[in-house]
Amino acid sequence: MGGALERYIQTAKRLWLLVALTFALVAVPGLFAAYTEYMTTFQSDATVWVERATQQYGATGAADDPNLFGRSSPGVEQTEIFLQLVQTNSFIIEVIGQTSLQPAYEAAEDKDKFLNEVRKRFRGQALGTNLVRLSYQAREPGIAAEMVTAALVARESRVKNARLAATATSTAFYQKEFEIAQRQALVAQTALEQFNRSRTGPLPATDEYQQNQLRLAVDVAQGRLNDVRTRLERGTVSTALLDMAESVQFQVIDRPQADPFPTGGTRGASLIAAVALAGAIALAVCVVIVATVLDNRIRDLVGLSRFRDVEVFGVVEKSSNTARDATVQTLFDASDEPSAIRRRTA
Amino acid sequence: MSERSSPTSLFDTIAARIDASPEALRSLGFTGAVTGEGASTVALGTAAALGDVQSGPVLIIDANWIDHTVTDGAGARDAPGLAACLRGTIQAKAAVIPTAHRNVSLLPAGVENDRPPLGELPSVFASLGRDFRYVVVDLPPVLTATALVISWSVVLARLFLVVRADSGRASLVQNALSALAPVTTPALILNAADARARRPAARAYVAR
Repeated sequence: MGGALERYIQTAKRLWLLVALTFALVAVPGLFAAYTEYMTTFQSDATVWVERATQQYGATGAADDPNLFGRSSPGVEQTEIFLQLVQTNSFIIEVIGQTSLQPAYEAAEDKDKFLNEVRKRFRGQALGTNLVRLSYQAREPGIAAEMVTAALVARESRVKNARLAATATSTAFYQKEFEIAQRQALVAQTALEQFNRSRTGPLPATDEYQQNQLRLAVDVAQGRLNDVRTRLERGTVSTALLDMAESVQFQVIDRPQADPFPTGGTRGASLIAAVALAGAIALAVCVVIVATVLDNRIRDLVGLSRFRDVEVFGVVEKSSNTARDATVQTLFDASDEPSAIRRRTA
Repeated sequence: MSERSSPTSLFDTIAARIDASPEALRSLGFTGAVTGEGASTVALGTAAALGDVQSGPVLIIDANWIDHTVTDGAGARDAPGLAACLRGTIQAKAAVIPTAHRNVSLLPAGVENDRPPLGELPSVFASLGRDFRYVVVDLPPVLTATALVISWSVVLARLFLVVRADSGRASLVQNALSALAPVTTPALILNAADARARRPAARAYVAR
């Protein structure tokens, strides 16, 4: 195990330049990307306190509410609502329309891509049961604060419109009923007046009965008209009351700030840097492993360790000059005199 | 680390181990898997070092008819040598020539066009073994002349397979070991190794 590891270490040392280049090839662009990510991220946050009106005025009977455990906290609820709003193009377009990104959006050839890019940069996070943080990460300073502010405004606008729409629906319904009742009362009144005009003097019993019937119809129509009018007035009030009861207080505690220096990019940059470094290390390790596996040259005693049943008798160190020439010279050319061999073979 | 005084001191450790071996390693063969591993150099250096570490006579036999560098280095290319001895045209003792080293002699290859028969090898080798304390044989590469190396391994007390560091291919060494496996298992000698190869861990591995 130690010998095998030693082989890899030696390969890494021998190919240090290749390993370093491989590492650098991945790590340097990755670290540069991380630096760029950090330097070009300008995040702006808004911290919002959200509270349901029912919760605020005391949740009477809340202990008896069977849906108590199924209900999410206002913080989570509003975060989800915000994130759902962000998924809609109309909301994003409305937000962009209130910021300095509007010209860029209008100039963009691929508007869907632009919207998706903006959408990805919004973040919603429930910090607690009643606390929400909305944030936006921009590439330029100032934009983020604009976007968060615009998003809050757009959300508020949408909530108001939704309330108005709800009120208008009930009002329209009762208004329609009132108009019908009004027409019925008018018809009954007209019929009674025509009957009175067509009869003079004392009325026979049959006409008197008919007159009573017409008066009764007028009274009924008038009664219904009054009833619908009352309902119309009550409906408007009850819708407002219901809206107030179900509404959520949305109070911005910390307004988005336009920081001139990069903020919020640390996490993303760290992730990019970590991935780049991990990838670079993995690639360098792969290079070393492949080089070690493919290289079957024997470099040292560790290289001989693969021949397990063979004795390694000794090691001859590398000599500065050619060992063979030096040895031959020692054995055969030790003096200036011709050697015995040369004398015999001459 | 001590300063080395002569080229042959590179082989002192190997020679000392051979001399101190309880197995009476008197006849030693040096070969490589292929040409260029430095077997001839190690054989020559070990013979010279053996001549230094003890006082008995040492004989180098150049049995490498493929690449007779020892014979060429001695300038004895034309001298009668091992080939003539094996053919019986000359007595082995008569073919032995002295070197500049007082304890070391050489039996040159005796360069001929045809390879000599090896039938007389045991008797020739036995006669030389009586006159020399150590007989060091430089053999051709295993993968080039497998049959020749196997024939020699029968008469040798120990066969060494020399592996040059940084160039020796493990696959070739494995092939050489496999080729010799039916007859003998040579010991390995790492040649031209970096000095770091002698660090404690490596030495422990050698002493295994």
